[in-house]
Amino acid sequence: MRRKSDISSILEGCLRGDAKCQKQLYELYCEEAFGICRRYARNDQEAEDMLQSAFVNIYRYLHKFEGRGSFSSWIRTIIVHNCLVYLKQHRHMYRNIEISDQHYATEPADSAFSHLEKEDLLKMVQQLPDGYREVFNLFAIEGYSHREIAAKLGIAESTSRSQLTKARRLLRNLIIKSKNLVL
Amino acid sequence: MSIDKRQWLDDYFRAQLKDYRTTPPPRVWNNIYSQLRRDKKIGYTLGGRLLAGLLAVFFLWLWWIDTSVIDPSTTIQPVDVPQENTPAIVEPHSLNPTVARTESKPQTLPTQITEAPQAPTKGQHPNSVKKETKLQDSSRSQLSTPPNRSSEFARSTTPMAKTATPSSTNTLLSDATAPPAAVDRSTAKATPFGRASTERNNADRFHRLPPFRHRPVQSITTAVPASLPIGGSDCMKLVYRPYHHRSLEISVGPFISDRLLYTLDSSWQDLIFKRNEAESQRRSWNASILYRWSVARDVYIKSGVQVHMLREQFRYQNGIDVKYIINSNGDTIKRIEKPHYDLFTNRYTFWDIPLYISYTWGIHRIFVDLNSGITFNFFSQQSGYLYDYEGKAKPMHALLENANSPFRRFAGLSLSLSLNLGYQFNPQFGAFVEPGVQYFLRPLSTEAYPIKQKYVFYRFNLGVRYTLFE
Repeated sequence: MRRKSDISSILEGCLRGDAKCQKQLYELYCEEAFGICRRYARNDQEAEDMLQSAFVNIYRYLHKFEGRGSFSSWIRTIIVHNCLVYLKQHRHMYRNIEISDQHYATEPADSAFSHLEKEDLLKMVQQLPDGYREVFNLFAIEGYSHREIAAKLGIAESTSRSQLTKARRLLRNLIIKSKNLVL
Repeated sequence: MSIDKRQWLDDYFRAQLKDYRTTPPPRVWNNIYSQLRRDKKIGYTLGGRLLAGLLAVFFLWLWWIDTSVIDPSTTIQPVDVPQENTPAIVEPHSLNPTVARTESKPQTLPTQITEAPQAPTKGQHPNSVKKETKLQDSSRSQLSTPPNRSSEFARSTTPMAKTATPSSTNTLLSDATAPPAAVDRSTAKATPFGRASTERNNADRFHRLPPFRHRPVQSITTAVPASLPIGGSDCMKLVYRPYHHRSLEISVGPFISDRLLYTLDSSWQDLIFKRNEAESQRRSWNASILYRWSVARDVYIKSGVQVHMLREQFRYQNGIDVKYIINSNGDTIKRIEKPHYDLFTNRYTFWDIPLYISYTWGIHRIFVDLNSGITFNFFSQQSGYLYDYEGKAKPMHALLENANSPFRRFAGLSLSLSLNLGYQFNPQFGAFVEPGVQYFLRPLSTEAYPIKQKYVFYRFNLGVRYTLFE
């Protein structure tokens, strides 16, 4: 665990444009940041682009961090925001295919989750369409309310709710499919 | 799906993925580093452009101020001193402001003015006579104008002028036939023209400018002001005749080339990073020969030929040689790793035609030229090695032969800004140092090559100036 003074000195170095401090900051938060980016991205290549863009923005806007809250929360907010912007900018490059969930109407048993690793869950999230994935990540994992999500994404609250429902349903079906639980 | 089940699904994903961490590949940091470096350089170049623009605007403003001020002393060149037998009209700036007080008695002027000579005297330039004749004509026209202009002039005169007595008018007019040196300098300062005495102005100018550079021009092609003795806006119609100044500047020196590498294709970022890291040495020099001629007062145009030669050395790590030291039993005693490097030298030559506008100041023998302008590259040549997409080194000429040539033959336009700080040893020779910057507007790379290579040159030249004639 790094002390607060260490982080402060690193941040000061970054503000001066010191490449060594910039790398230290990157090494400190890159793993967590890449985990977030992978949740929002469609694939790993896209996650790398998001991470790169997010860190460049972090260095660029570091002077705006006032030190009131924790730096970790601030950096997390920046990364999430950056991921959403990236997806918005690159939405035209991908065609979302609506996944049919008619064949998997039955709810899986709780035991269906037990075999799943983190990587498997991540792959499932990545398979969700952009809108579903964004809402699911923001609501279920980040803990935002529907009102906040609606404001962030520029959609109606009802849309946020419906997309979350669809995302859950798709995830459920993906879990069942992974277990070969065709019912 | 029940509420509990939904909650369970959310909780499960949150528990698993909220603090999920995974190590990104090293290339991500390389890309970030390259982008940060590029941002920094773009910031510098933007700052440089802004600074250059501001400087250009500032000096243009200075030049405009300098040439638009009502200052007949700088627009009428010193005329040969009138001889005793050739009474000449005094130049307007050599008149005391108290002349304004005499306008109520204009009849005294024609008498004296009409005595101006119609032919040049010995040692006097014919053009000066031409000017004097024009002065005479314009004086007549001035005298025929209604006297309401005197009130305008009276408003613009200084208190010193207002205190003069009418009796001084005759003295002044009689002094007008004397050489300008006879004018009292203390009163001359107070004229509405700013500077009254020709001698004083000349002295001032020669004090302000290099002694060997500026000489009085004998031929005067000035339009004569209509309001000769009174002054006013008509004086601005005087056309300044620039000095006939031509010189040759030869300079040579080293320069620092700041190379900016960037790409819009992220898959090439690694190669940029590799190349930046691999560069071990950069040597460069330049030389120029410029012809310099005056186009206005203190303003010159410079043009000629300039060559920049640039040598970049690269040391790429191309693998690691591993040596095993084995004893007689076949056991490995030691394992030695030695990186293997590829050494390349890339050479670039730029042949340019600069076109600068130059503004000059001088104090005694020291002169300062501020040069700014454009440089047109008419030929550039490159040799050496480059890595292709697969990371294999290929000679440039091999790449240049196919359709995807990495560099252009014509680097295009660049912006230049430089400063000559020099010392004039004698009327012919001077020496100077010239720090300068040259910014290429577009990259040297072709459109087909994904890595863009752009240059900024910072040079420091030593040179000599040879004045051809004035």
